[in-house]
Amino acid sequence: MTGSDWQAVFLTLQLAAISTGILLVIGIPMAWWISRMQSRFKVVLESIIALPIVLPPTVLGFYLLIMFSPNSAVGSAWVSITGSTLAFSFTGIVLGSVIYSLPFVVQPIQSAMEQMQQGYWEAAGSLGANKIDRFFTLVLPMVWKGLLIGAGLGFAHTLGEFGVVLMIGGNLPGETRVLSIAIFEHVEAFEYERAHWLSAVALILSFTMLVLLYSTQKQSLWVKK
Amino acid sequence: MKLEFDYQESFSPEVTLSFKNTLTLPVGVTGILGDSGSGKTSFLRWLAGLSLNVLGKLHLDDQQISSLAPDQRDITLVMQDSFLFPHMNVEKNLLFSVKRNKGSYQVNNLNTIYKVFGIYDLLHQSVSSLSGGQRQRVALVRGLLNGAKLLLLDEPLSALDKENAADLLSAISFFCQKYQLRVLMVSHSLDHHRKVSKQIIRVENGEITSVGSAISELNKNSDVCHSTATVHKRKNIDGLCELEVGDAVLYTLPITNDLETVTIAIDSHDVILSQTQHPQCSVANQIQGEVINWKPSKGHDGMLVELRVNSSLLLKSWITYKSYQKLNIDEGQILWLQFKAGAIHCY
Repeated sequence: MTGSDWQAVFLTLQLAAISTGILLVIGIPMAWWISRMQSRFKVVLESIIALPIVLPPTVLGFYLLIMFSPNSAVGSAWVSITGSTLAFSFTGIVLGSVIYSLPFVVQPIQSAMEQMQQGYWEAAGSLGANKIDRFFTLVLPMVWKGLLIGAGLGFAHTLGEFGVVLMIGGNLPGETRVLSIAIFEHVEAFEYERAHWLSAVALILSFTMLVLLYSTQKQSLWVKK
Repeated sequence: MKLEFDYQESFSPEVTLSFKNTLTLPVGVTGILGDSGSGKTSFLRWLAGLSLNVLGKLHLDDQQISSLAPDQRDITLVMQDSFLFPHMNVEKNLLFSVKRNKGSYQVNNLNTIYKVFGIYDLLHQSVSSLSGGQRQRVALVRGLLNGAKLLLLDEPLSALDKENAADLLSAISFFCQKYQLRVLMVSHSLDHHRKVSKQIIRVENGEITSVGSAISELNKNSDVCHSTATVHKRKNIDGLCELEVGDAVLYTLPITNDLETVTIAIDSHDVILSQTQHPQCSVANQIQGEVINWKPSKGHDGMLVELRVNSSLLLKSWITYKSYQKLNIDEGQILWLQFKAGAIHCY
């Protein structure tokens, strides 16, 4: 493993950590909002969020690339605010990862929230706790396993990202050259030994993540009667 | 306290609830009695603000509160399923309520309350380790500590056995007196109402059919007669307890509580009618009464004769048609009523 390979590993971990952080901040309120929704629009929203699961990453990457281009509204706005372009930047692939991994974070949290019996929410309300109070003292602690699974899956999924990054990030060392891209590059250059080492790192990372995740999976006692 | 409400909710064309009344709630427990499916739980939930999409009018002491969220109401509901928060231990569940006290009263000596309600030893246990009865105790105390003007209890003691329920009901009564608290309690158990209810609201098919004093409501269409009795002598020379109802003295088995007045219930099947007194007889109670009414019993298997002993004591006796003819029952007739000490149930 060379310095540039390690750089790719750390860049990937950095990308996964930042994306997961952002995903939790937007995913928790989103999951709560959807879990409380009763209108027919709920199905549409759930489908939109689930799209990255079924869509080829290249399709998602393609649309993002177009959106990031300085000719588009989003791209030009970004350039005028920050002075740099989104495409082929670390910020760009963070944004891509957030969209790409959103369903993996929102779905487990939403399902944990939906499994929570309404009676707890009502009992706390009748005891004088307002909605914000109840969200923090009741909902969050009661769905913590869902939060953990969501964060873990989001992190693990971002680790394995390839297509989206390839489309919108390219292969800039220290900026967008993540683990999966580095492996691809080694294989193309017939540097199989370096590809082996990096793949082993990816395998161990992902496996460890999943073992940690599933070891907390013991069904919580209070979600269902 | 005045509670004025007009509540209507429709679950289907066949099931429609319509509760409309203006009640004066005394300090203590007002019972709600009715068959399952008559809308009692839905009514309590609406009072607590848990069905805000249902229209209606609700005034608590002339303050319009129908549009207030549950956490803004001076009303706390204790649900039948307890809903103790599973991520907190028993004590934290109770403190959750204490911290959000609604301000009508505050309980300072928490440990005393915990002991009175039998949950002191459970404080540090996790909620999942509790039995159904223990959960109900904790949920009840959690409600009591919330300091609301009006506490709603939905089958609060359904998982407890008779003796434990009786102890808790006494504790609720005592608590209400001390903190001037009003309680609306739904319970299927007549024993619970006999024990604590001062007033009873009767509900049938989604409507309130009557509201009255507990004694008069319990006596309606019942084979059992209820009265309020004063404990005259806890244990007399014969080892019996002497109760006074008006000018009548009744003998019953020693009572275990230390109340000065008790509600007594005497089943009509336990009362014998006779034209003469029987001095040489084991029966502890022999008193005279005047026949005021009689009608076939509910199952049409006999006659239910109603007699007045004095202005506070009405009793019923279930007799066969044969006895009815033999005694030649007629209005104004004076007969001896005989019943054993054990036939008087005290609450």
